[in-house]
Amino acid sequence: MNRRGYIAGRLAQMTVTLAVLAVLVFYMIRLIPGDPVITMLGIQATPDSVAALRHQLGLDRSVPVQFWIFITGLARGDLGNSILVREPVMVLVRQRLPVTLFLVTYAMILATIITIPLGIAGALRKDSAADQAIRGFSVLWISTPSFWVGILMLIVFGVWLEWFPVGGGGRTFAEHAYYLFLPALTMGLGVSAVLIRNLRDAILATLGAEHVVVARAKGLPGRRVIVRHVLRNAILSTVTLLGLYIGFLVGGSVIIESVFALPGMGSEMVAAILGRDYQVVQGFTLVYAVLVSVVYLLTDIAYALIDPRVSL
Amino acid sequence: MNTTTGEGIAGAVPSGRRPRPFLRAWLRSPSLVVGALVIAAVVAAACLAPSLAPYNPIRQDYAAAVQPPSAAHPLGTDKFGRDQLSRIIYGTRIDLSVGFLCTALPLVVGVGVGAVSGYYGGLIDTVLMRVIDVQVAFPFYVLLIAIVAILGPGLINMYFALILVGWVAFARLIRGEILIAKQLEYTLAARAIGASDARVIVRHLLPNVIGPAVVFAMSAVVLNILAGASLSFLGLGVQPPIPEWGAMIAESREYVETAWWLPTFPGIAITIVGIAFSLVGDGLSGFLRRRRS
Repeated sequence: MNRRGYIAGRLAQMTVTLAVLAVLVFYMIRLIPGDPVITMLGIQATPDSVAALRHQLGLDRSVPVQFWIFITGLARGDLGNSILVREPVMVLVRQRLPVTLFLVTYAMILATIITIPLGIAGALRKDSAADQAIRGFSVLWISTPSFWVGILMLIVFGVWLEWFPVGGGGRTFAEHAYYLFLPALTMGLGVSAVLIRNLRDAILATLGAEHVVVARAKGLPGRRVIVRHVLRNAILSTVTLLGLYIGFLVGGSVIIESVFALPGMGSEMVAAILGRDYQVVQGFTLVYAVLVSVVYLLTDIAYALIDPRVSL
Repeated sequence: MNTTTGEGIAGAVPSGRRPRPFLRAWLRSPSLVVGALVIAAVVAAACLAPSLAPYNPIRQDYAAAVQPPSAAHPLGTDKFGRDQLSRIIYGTRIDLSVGFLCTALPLVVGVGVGAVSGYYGGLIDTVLMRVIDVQVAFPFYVLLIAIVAILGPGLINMYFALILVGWVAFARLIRGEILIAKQLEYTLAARAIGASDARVIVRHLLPNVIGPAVVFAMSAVVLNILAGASLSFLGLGVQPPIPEWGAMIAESREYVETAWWLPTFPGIAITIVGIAFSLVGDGLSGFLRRRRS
C-alpha cells in the first residue's frame, strides 16, 4: 500500500515536472532577444516571407492561443516543422532518436564492463600499485574533455590503425555495434572514472560489515564471499550513481555525436542552433528532457519494487 | 625539503590567528601542493601572456601555415600560420576565467539560497525544490546548449548560461547540510543565548557546512572549464579568432589526418589544468575528512 502510494506520488510529481517543462520550452522561442522570425530569416528577408513564417509559427496570435496550439500539438505528437530540412520535427526525432538511445545504452554497458573488475581490483588490493594506477586513471579521465579523447581515438584507431570507421552509424545491429564502439567507449570511460572510485569505496566499506565477517567465519570461500556478500551490497550505490549519470551521458552524447559525425539527435541539434532552426531546438530540448525524466522515474519505481526501505 | 618550505612560509605569517596547523596540514598533502603550484603557474601565464607568448596569437602568416613543432614554433602553427604556443598561453585567460567566474558566482548565490532555504524551510524551500526538480530533468549539456541557443552563441552568453545552470547544485548541497546542522546542539545553544537568525546562519552554520561546497567547487571548476571548451568546440561559445582551447581543437578537426599537433596540445593544456583542480579538490576533501573525524 505504502509502495503504491510512493509510486503514485512520484507519478504526480513527474506530471508537474513535465507540465513545467512544456511551459519552459514553449517560452524558449519567445525569450529570444529581438524578433525570432527576423533572426531566423536574416535581415534581408522580404516582409512577405517574414509574415508567412510568423504565421506558420503562430507568433501573430495572442500568447494564450499560441500556448493552446502548442499544447494540443504536443498531444498529437506535433513538435512543429524544421525550416532547414523542411520536415516535421517529429520525423527527425523518429529518425535520430534510435541512434542516440543506442549510443547511450552502449556507453552504459561499456562503463559497467570497465567499472566492475577495476573497482573490485582497487578495493581488494587497496593502496597497491594497481590501486594507485586505477585512481590516477580516474583523476586523468575526469579532467579530460571527452570531445578531445574522441578526436584522439579517431586519429589513433580510425586514421592510423584503420580499425574503426571515422564516421556514420551503420545499418544493421552488428554494424551499429561496430560503428558506435569508439564513441560509446569515449563516453563510457568518462563515466567509469567516477563509478570505479565509488565502487571501490563501497566495497571497502562493506568488507568490514558484520554479515561479511559471518560469511567468512562460516568458512565460505573468498571468491564466493566477495561476489555474493560484498559485491551485491556494494554495487547498489554504484547503480544509483549510474542512474544519476544517465542525464550526464545523454547530454554528453550531443558533443560526442558531433565529434564522430553520428546521425543522432545531438548532431542535428547543434546544426539546428547554428542554423537558427528554432523549432527543432525546441522540440529536441523537450524530447531530451522527457527522456531523462522517464528514465529517472523508472529508476525510482524499480527501486521502490526492489528495496523495501524506500516505501517506509 | 617540504618541511623547510613549510616552516618558512608559516614563520613569515604574523602569529595571532593560528595559521600554523592549517598550513602544515596543507603542505602535508602532496596533491594539494602539486595542484596549487600548477594552478599558480597557469594563473601567472594568464597574467603575463603578453610577455610570455613569443608571437601575437591572432596574427596570420600564411607562409608558415600548418608547420609541425620546430625551434621557431615549439608547438607548431595552425592553418593560418598562427603560433600555437602563443595561442595556448593566451587561451589560459579565457579558459581560466570560465572556470573561476562560472564557479565563484554560482557558489555565492547557491550558498546564500541554500542556507536560507534549508534554515527557514517553507515557501522558498518548496520553490527551490521544484526548480531543482525541473533542472535535473534537463541533461546538463542540453540545458546549456538550449540557453545558448536562445541567447545566441558567444563568450558572454556562454558565461551567462554556465552561471545560470551552476548555482542550483551548490544550493542543493548547502541546503542538505544546513538541514542536518540546524538540529545540532551548537545551533540550539546559539539560539538559546538569543543569537539572531542571521547570526546563527553566518557565524555558526555556514562555517561548519561550507567545506563540502568548497570541495565541490573544485570539481565545478573542472566541469565548467570542460563545458566552456565543449561549447566553444561546438561553435556555440568563444568565436574566432579569440584563442580558446576548445575552439582550437574544433579548428584542428579538418587536419586530424595530417597535423596531429593541432588537436593534441590544446587538449593537453585543458587536461593539465583539469588535473590540477582535481588534485586540489582531492586534497581539500581529505583535509576535511581528517578534520571531521
